[in-house]
Amino acid sequence: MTTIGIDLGTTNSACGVWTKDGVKLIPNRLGEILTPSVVSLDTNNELLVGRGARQRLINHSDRTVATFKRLMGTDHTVFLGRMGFNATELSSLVLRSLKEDAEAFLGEPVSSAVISVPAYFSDNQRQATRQAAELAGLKVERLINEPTAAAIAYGLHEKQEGMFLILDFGGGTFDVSLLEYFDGVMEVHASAGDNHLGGEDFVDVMVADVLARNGLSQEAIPPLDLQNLYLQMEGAKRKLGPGQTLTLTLGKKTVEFEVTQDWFIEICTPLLLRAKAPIERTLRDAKIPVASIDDVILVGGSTRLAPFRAMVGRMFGRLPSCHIDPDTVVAMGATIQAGLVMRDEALDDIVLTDVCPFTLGTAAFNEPYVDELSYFPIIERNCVVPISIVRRLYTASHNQSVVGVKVYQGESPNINKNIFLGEIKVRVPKGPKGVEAVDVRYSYDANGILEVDVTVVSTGVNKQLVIERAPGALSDAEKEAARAKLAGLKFHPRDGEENRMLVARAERLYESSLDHRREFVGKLLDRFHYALDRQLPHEIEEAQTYMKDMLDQLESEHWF
Amino acid sequence: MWPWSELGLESTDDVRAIKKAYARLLKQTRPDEHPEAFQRLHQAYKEALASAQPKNQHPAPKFGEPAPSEPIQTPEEPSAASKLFQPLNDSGNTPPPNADPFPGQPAGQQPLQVNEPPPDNKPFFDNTDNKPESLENTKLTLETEPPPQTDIDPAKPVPGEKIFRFIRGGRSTAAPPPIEDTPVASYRMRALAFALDTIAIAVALAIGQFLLTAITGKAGLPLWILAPATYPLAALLFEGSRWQATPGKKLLGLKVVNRELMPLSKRHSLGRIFTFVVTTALLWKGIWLVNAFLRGRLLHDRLSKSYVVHVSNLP
Repeated sequence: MTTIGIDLGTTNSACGVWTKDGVKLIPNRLGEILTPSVVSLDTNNELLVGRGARQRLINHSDRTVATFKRLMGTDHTVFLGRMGFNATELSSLVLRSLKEDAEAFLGEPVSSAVISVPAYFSDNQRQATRQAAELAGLKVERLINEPTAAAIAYGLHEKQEGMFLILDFGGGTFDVSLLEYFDGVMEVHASAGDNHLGGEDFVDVMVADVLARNGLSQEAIPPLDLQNLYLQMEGAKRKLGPGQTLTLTLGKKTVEFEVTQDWFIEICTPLLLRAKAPIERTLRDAKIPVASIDDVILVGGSTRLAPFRAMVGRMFGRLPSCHIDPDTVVAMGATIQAGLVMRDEALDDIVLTDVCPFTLGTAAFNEPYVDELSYFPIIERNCVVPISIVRRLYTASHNQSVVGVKVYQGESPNINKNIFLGEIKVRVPKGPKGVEAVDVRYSYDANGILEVDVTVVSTGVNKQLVIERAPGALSDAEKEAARAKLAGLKFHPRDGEENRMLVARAERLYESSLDHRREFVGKLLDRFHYALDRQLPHEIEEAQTYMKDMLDQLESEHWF
Repeated sequence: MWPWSELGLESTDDVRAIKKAYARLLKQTRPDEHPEAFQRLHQAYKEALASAQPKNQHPAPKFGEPAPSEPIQTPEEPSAASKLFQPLNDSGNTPPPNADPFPGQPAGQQPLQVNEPPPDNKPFFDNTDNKPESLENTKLTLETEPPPQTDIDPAKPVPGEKIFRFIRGGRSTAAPPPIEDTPVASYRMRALAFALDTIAIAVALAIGQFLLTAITGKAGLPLWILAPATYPLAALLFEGSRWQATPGKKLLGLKVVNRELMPLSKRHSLGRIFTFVVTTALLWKGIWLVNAFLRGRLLHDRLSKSYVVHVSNLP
């Protein structure tokens, strides 16, 4: 039985396995380490995951979906063709694809995994991730926080001791963690984050600004142009520099647009400012002076943004370091954690302690103000986990027969501003107010999963939290149904995948080109289809190589 | 003496030695294997570190002594409040020196009762002990936290529409469970639609027969009597179409949808009509009565899991 480490990202995912020689990242069926977290369903209801699916984002945007990690823990449904999927199901498809790749690479079945999640993921989102793994046939050994995973990779890879501030700025989330590594102890001092701040937001802002400048709205231009605009902006964001002129097709108009660093900074400053808040909060919570931080480490693709680096540099008065590839460092850390869980000898002397990044509490009447429920924290943020805390609550009115314990996550004194996780109701014997009591126990484990149980003191009746309709959570029946639905979907045959990807890529190039260039791509396509039709393996292989070379040459715009 | 006994050290200011001892002990008490022992160890470690660096530390009130009367001004180490409620030594050893949760309170009123055996050796704490002052103090410790900055508070749930914008690809995104929040059409509307449809069909049949009679010259039984029986056929034809409604429903602005507020598939539509025929046939005499009490979710709607809603309620 093998346990793999998986980084399930907003934009890209990756997985690895712990071997005797350390971390080995597993290439996917196309030989690449990073698998884009994109799912596409073709007209035969066959699934494409990864680069092939990503290529279809333009031409088949109604059957392809990306960045669905941002919907984790919600009930939203995305329709691919006629089939609706929620984020949990889509994530499980990516996980299934990674699992199959790992199985093909290792030559043995993979049944369990350590999966990384953003440190600031809420309980709902963690549960959803867990269920996604379950649907993909993977047992989750551990959910590890992404910055922690990155820190493990750095700490163990570099054998460097000291205090690190990890800034994990990915496609969809921003996480900050302050860690200390000494004598084989990896201690997280504090974490904070923003679940809706990432590289995709920058692209969103750029697209919105371009459209606003041209007096257009997202609905006004055809979906194909919109997807193209997204890709062009994404490419521009990556190449951000002295200035580049893009030709944009916006419905009926075609405009020349110059992307400059100044423009980018101007429109993205609000987002960059948002990134400051979690950094400050982490430092404040950890009570550690900035001077004692030994290194600021950047993780995640979005940390490549020059304005972000400049901001971090100014905040800390030093250059942040990022000598491990920021795209794969989390997967490496998750893999090391998988090795830890399997208790590989090489890792036996490492212990990791993590914290709960947010406050968990309930709502209670705060005497003497009994007309309004106020927030009552039980597990305070940034306390070390696993932790189990009991608080006692009393009945608030005479002859009260039911006590409802609402479970919230968040920092606001106003319960409506916190995230509602669920509710437990227990019956208590009637009596004068303040006599009957319930013991509310919150247990937060190392996976970041919360368990709540409520015991009535006088009767000893005990009830555990079953979240009735937590957004995104599936009941057993729904889980069965989802499993049946997903089992009906088959991945493209392994050998076919690469061909389809090439065809999709060529089709995209065909659409974006003109004149003889377009003609040439058309000929390439014909030739490739001809080779495919003949079904001779060596010919197909030859055609593949040729096609790949030609497309690489043609694609001067590096959108992908 | 606690916390040094926990770490197996003599009282020291040597941070390095404290860390070494902690690291050594931690490897025997891994957090995932011995959660409670780990919490104790970690608490002792933090305590030892704090006393080794006196400049970062508030003078911790000794246990049992009245604490300074002013509320805490600067937040202590953020997890301090929660650590107070972590498991005490279950062997009944001396509790940690800062076990006083309400430093603003005279000792006599403290709600924390260490001598009373807590329920199954779990930490015991009560919060609503009819002591308003103690509760206010709880509030005070809360208020020393930095005020949440509402516009950038990451814990704030993002409204649904905002999430939509983040998503790329996919034909459309809908937020289920939509039908729970969508009012279905009332029984009166439905009955009116049915009446309109039946009249329309009857008229159509009558005109058809009139034309037929004009052509063939033979008069048969009046066909319009068959209007109610023809209704299911017409419904099948119209509800499965782009209209998603029979002409009567269309006129009243009603639409037939499934749980996701999407049009019914052909099979679903057939199922709906089938259940309509069956329920009508079985309950013909009482049908109007039964359906009138179902709050707009008529028998065949319920059985076929379809919904009839007003167009204005659709997204």
